[in-house]
Amino acid sequence: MTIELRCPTEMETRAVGRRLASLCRPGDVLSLVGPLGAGKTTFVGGLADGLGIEEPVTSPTFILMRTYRSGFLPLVHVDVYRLTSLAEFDDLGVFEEAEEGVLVVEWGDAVSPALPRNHLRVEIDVDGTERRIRLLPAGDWRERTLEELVA
Amino acid sequence: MKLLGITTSTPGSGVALADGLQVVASASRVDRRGHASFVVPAIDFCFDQAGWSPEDLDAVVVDVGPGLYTGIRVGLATAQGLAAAVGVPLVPSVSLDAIALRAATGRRHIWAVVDVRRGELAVAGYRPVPGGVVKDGPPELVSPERFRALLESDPDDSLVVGDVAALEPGLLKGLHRVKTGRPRYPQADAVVEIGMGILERGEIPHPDEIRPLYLREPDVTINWGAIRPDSPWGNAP
Repeated sequence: MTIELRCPTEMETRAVGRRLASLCRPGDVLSLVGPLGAGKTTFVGGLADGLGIEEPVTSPTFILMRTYRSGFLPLVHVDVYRLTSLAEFDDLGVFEEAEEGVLVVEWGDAVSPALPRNHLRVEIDVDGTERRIRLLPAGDWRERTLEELVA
Repeated sequence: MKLLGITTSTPGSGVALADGLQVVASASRVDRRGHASFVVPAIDFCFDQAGWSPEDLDAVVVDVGPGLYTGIRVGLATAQGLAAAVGVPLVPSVSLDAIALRAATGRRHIWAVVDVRRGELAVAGYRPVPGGVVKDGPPELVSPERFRALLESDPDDSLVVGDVAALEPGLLKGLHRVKTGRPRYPQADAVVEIGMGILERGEIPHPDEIRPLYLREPDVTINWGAIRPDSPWGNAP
């Protein structure tokens, strides 16, 4: 099963993130895949908004991990772009940090052997001025109503 | 003989100064991360408490794993720096050995366990002997299922020590001859004791041979070249 959404503007990328928040549960893992500038952080910003997080989401590339706790669920935003080995990812302790919240891993495909099988893969591609978001559910994500995200 | 022992290979970090086997100062804490911010201040604290200075040391003993990737490197780099600076031998200690050494049993076969993540465990078996333990063989990396099978086929009553709490719930269920016990993590005083034994036997390795014991070496490198050829590491040789 793959859900595909077209987002002509940044606002719509954000809206997809916001709507996805309603399907999130504690302990969820999202693997975010897409080139630089695809709007990964924009998407996470929308997700944070949907989770009721007030502060703006900024890229965690340089600090690796940022946790937001002002919403309904904690959001742990990780960017593995600066890491060189899976062991470094293991040592960040992201799963402990996100135990009761939602974990989003940017460049998740780089560390896929270290991610749980049960996760949602979110692919963002640039297609002209449009963004194409593909949701690839695994594990119990397959039973969630992802199709409702298609506005 | 004055020794400094350092262990940062697991969430339980510890530092101890000992005169022979008499611990004169120690510091420890449990945290999955932040070994780097703990270890040097902890060493300073111990020197303060003992009224010693680094020049008083006769050797530095360091836990080289298996365990947490970053933790091991933090401990080893700190120990190497200190040993080199004061010109004393560096002595390696294995995390599982230090755990097994403090297992409270006189007769049970001991299994020491360290959680190395990604669903794998580092384990080694030991026999209690008067004054210590004797290792069955080198540590190995196993799946939880394989570990259970090892325990099931153990003809002796056994005691599992180490990070038992990190095992999946129910893994040891129904194994009636298996008990679990402490310690959960290597203790710095046990690391010192192991180092002391190595020094007494004159078995100190050459400093170049003292390497992290990851068991997974070389650890999987992220293939950025395939994911993003234009990333900072994509074109690295």
